[in-house]
Amino acid sequence: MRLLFGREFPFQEVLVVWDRLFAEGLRSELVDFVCVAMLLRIRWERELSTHLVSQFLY
Amino acid sequence: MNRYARLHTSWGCGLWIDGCIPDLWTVQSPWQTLRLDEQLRADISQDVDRCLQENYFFREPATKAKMIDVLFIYSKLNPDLGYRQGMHEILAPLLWVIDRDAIDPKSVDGVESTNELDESLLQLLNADYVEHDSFTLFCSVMQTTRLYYEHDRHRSPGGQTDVIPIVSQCQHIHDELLATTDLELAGHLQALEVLPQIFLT
Repeated sequence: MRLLFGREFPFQEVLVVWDRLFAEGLRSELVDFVCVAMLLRIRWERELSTHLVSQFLY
Repeated sequence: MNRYARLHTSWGCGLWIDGCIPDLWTVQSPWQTLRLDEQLRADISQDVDRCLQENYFFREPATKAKMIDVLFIYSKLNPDLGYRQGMHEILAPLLWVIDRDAIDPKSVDGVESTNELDESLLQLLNADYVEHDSFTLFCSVMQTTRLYYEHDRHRSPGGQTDVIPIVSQCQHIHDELLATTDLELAGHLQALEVLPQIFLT
């Protein structure tokens, strides 16, 4: 949060994320929502990869 | 631009000069102020030197000098916050974008501008004011982001302990937002005893 996701994405993608955040006025609740979205995304990706691995194995 | 130029003149060389108004309010001697300023610039410089070094732009001495000056002046204007590691990584992309978009006024000398829009764009993107514009935008971004750098403790809502604002924010994200959206995930993180501020700050 301190880096506004500056280390979560490649540099060029950070610029895209910031474009969006700044266009919406950089409200602090937006930062909160992005954090939640990222946590959910990590969960989904883990579940998808676990599912794919189990499909591959069985 | 004028405000930044005046601040840069007062503080840029790091010496105490008449007109350095905030220092007149403190009981510090000018020499104490000078030493503290030098230490502040050294702290900032250490972070700037390591910032995005894979990008040639951030290896240039002129870029580093601009970053140090902007961060130093911001810290002087916001003594409650001071300088904290991470602010340099907020400034870096802003400076990059402004510099990339900048137009050197000398490169369009002698070229007739066809309309008012050209004049406005030339003024907006003037390469002579990259540092000034970066400072202004950095201040604007920090209006929201400063919350994550504040270090005065206050009572967390619904909590018994005094916490700094960023911890309070992390708790809000985990306990309220994430719990509402994905209770299982929130519970899982809590069961693992992973504190929200570990993965959110």
